[in-house]
Amino acid sequence: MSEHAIEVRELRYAYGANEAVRGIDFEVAPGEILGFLGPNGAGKSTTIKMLTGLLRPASGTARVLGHDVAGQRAEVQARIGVCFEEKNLYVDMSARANLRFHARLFGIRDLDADELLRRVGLADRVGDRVESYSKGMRQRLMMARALVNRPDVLFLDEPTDGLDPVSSKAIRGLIRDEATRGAAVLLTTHDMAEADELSDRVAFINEGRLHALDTPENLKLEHGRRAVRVRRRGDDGVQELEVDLDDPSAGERLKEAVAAEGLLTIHTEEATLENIFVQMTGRGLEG
Amino acid sequence: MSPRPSRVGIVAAIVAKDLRSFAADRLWVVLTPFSMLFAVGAVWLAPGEVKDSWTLGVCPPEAAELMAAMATDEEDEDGFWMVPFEERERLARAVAGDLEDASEHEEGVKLGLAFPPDLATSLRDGQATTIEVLVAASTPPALQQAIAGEGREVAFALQAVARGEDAMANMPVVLPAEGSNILGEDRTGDLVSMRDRLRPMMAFMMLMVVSMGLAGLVAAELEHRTVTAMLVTPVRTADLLAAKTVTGMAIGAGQAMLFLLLTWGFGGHPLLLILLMLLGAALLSPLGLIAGAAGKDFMTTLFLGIALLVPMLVPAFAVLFPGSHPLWVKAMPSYGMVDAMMEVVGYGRGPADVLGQLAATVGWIVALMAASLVVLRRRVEAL
Repeated sequence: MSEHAIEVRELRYAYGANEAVRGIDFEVAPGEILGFLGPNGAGKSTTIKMLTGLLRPASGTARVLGHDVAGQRAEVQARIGVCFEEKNLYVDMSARANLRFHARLFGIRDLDADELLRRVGLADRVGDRVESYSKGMRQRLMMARALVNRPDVLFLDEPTDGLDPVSSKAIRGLIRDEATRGAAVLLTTHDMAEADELSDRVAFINEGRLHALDTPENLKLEHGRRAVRVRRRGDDGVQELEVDLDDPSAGERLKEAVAAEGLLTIHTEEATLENIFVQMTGRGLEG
Repeated sequence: MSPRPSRVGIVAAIVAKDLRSFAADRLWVVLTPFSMLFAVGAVWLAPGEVKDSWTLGVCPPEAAELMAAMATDEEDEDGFWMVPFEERERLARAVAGDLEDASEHEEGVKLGLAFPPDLATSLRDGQATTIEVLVAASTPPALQQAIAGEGREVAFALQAVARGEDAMANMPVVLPAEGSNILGEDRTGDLVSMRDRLRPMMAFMMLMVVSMGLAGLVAAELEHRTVTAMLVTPVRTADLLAAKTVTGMAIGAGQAMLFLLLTWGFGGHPLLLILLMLLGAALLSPLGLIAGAAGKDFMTTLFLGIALLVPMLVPAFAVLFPGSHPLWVKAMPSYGMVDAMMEVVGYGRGPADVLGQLAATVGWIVALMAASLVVLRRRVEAL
């Protein structure tokens, strides 16, 4: 049996003539969080749809928990949890009823919905109709719904998009908890800081192709520009000096800058994932 | 790890959820009792008996006596009742409904045959004469022609009498004493009333209303993408289709059966009628599913629902009228079910008499379900 919770090889999909996913390879280990980063239309959602059994791959293989998704959909879907970007809840039902209905689709009749809702901070609204919920509450309910079957693999599509900081923090906490429990997590997000904070590894996808797959630290070390920014007060007011650490004379220049009079601040300049994404793909994450 | 769900368990869960949604939908909560009230009211207000005799006024009375003598079956209560009139003007006023001092018999006169006062003389001399056919505006044209023919026949007989011959002896055609040779079941005096004809149509309309509701449910699942949330669980598209069909059958057939109960429509074959109601609901549910799956929004769903379901009403209207129906009406998916209902409700037929219609309906159900599965799958993939 495969040691990977998710294993993707040469996966492809096309909407008519438009090739959305063009032969991607990656894997996710149990307990690992993989950040799947890319702009709209990059192929993230199509990949998730193939991995969750909503779309049949045009070619290549997608295995989840050792099962081929195309051929053994039932085995896969019984053990995954999916949190969609759109809030596809039954708004005319209560949060408790939503969870119980979803649990019955997995054959679970004794779900402790109230406990699950307590975990996502909705304990005091379990009986309220979802139409009265705020966006953040709905997203937390979506997260709870993805957990009703204690999934071994979680697919989370923009789980914190547009949420307030409190709701975002609550959901990030849940994601960490699930990974700690042993669930593999495939997380798509626009939020680079979130991806940096949560992900064990990140994958950059653009125009259906993977451009990078590594830990955030390695990507920054390999592709980021390391520098130190020094600010001091001189005769002509506040001056700023940037020292490129990859420059052979960096040590000497830094020593001089620190020794000079009027030193105000010293900042290390670390590359962000967004900078690296732009550098590698030639485009930003928005739009 | 969660237990493996059964297909029946999945379908039951979706059905239970849909039934709750249906019950909570304000539109259907209002529409359902309203449509039931309308359908039941329409049936009870419709005439429960068929008037298959007409009262014919004849002037002068001698002609009426002769016509009565010419009747082949004097005991027959159906056909024409004759009321003699002394004056043509009084007969005309009776037919027009303007006779203020009309007797009990004269009140029902809607047809009149007025022979001229000098009829006997004219006929004896071999002269052509004119008779008047007086009809009320509501008289069917076919009946008007029949009365004109009756007038010619009476004139022929009177001509023989005028010549001192036996009125019936020289008739060119002699009808058998038993009257008409009726092929098939003789329903003389026992025709299907408008009330009985309305029952299948109204039951069918109730099934249609539910099918539209089903279209709305499916459209809402697609619009809110809740269908996607289900399809990443062990739920299959076929489970969805089965669940929606069962929901449609439960609500539609339940309402139609309640309607039949309230209109005393179950008659001698209640189990057969229950089966027909279930088949009718199963027939219309896929059409609702197709409309819901193919519609992009409320208006297109409504339009598609109407476009698909209203033609299904044609056979239901067709059975309101006796006689043979055109081939294209018989080719409609709903014809078998409606015709079988008419046979059972109207004519008291049993299961063996409607096997063909049942088989045709089941065939259409299978075909329409397959079509709705294809449409639903395509729509889900496009989400």
